[in-house]
Amino acid sequence: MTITLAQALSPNTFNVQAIFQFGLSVYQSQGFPVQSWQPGGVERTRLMAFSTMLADVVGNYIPTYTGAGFLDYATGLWLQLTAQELYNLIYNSAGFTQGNILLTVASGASGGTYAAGQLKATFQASGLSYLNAGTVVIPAGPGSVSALFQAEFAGAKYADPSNSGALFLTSAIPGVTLTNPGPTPNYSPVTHVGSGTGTLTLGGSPVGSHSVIISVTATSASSPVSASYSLDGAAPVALGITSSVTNLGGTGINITFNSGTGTSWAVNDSYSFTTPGSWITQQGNDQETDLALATRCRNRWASLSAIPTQSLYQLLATSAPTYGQQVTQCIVVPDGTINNKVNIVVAGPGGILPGTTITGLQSFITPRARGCDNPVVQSPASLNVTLAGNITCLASQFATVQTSVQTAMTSLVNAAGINGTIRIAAIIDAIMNIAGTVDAIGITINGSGSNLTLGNSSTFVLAALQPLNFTYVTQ
Amino acid sequence: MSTFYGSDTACVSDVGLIDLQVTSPALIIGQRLARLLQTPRGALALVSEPDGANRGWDIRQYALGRLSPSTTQVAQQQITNECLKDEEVQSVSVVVGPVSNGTLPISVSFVAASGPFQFTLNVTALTVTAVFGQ
Repeated sequence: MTITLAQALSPNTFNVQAIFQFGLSVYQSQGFPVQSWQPGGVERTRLMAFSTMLADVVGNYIPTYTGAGFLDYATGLWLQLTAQELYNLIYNSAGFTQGNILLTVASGASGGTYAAGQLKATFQASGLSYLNAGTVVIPAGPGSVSALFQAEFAGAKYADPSNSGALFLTSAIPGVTLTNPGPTPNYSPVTHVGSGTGTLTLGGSPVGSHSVIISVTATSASSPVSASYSLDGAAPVALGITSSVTNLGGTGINITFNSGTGTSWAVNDSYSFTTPGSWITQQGNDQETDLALATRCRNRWASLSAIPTQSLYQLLATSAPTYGQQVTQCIVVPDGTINNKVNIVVAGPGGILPGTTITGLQSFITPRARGCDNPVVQSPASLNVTLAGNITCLASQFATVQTSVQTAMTSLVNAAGINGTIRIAAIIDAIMNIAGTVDAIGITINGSGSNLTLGNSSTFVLAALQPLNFTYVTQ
Repeated sequence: MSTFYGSDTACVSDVGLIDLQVTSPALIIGQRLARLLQTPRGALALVSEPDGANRGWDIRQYALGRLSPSTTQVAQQQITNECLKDEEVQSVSVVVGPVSNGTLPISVSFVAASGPFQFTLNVTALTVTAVFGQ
């Protein structure tokens, strides 16, 4: 039997009948009366059993071996081996979500010391549980303590939002209640790129979700600082020379610029942060998919060149130790205003990544920048997306349709990614593919019947799906 | 011109330590029918036999149950149907029972191109033995 490369890569090439007929021809060439072999005959059945076994083994092994060294064909453990041996890349295993939970003790309640893993907090809304990562000393009431908790299992689904509502200890401690507020003030940590020693203090009462980048436009030893700001990825706006900013761009964000030692403010330094902050300090992730790992392998080629390409920075962002595995979305966009600035916009499976992750990625990428590139890692701005419309479904499947619609819309919006497009047609198609649905009309995205394109070449936006606003009609 | 039935390995409920070849149509067809009457319906599909899902009829099920006259008739028809699926069997007659000393005898008389043949399967709850006539 001779085979082509295409056949060797296909698991369907070696079917049972082909092998059986080949076996018959071998028997026949040796004089066996194969024409008289009837179903149920010993030799025929024996040959069919061998052919069935051989087809199963060969049909699985040969395509796997043939494709093992090729990124388009290798899968699972083979792809991981190829990535490690040929590209020196270790696949990203599933990671745990970590975040700070506030334990509040009522007056009169006694405290206690709890070793790591002794406290199990469960979110009522999601049913997901987290365990204390280290020893927690709960004070006697009245009092409170913030403790780091880690998801019970690794995975991206552990993405409970801040202030999630009912949060309780599996083994209740009298007088102790749990909450997961965002940080106070409600900002992510500030990520600093550059050599200046100045720092930012954030305050005010921010309104809405925003991402802010402060760029230093002139070097100075101390405050005031000459700077500009970019709000939600928009073009920079000059701040002039200032020591503080109140109500930045009408968002309620206040910034104070604090001098450091030596050169406080270095030209082209940038400071970035997002609001609101999150209780999550490390976003969990699912095990890296074959597609994502193969993409990282291909991006490896760019690291061999002295001339950087977009895929180089994508490789660095997704391969950074500890933080790279949290990145499931990454776009690299040369800045339209600053000619050596490269915007590296990242997001995770739960959307906006924690500030510590952005800082960690920046620290990894900055020393690996090529030439005079100024790579700036940042989160996209978050845009609330509300889907609405009228769905007709069978009364008997109303509950399952509702659940399936939620799952489908979550997947659809997540799949749009950074600066993606959410399409009305895709929403209708996803709804109509759900068993039990009869019709979907009047679909809107944020009140509009048109597609929604997130961001543009200078604005980076990620959708945040809000509670669905579909009206159901049963029949 | 006599019909050529080829040859096959002797086997009723298991192959022997040494493969013996049979060429007699009584044994080739008879043993083949005997094996199919010990094969659960659809088992041949596991070895990818075309139409394997429709072949096989395990007569040991009759040894586990109580056979009334009506169920005996049904059993005879079921066994007849299974035997007629063999393309070398032109006609067949089946007699089931009665049970004697815990053994259920099933007599199968079939006609092939080379003439009539007969065999009897003695079925217990654990074993099936075959006796081949001419």
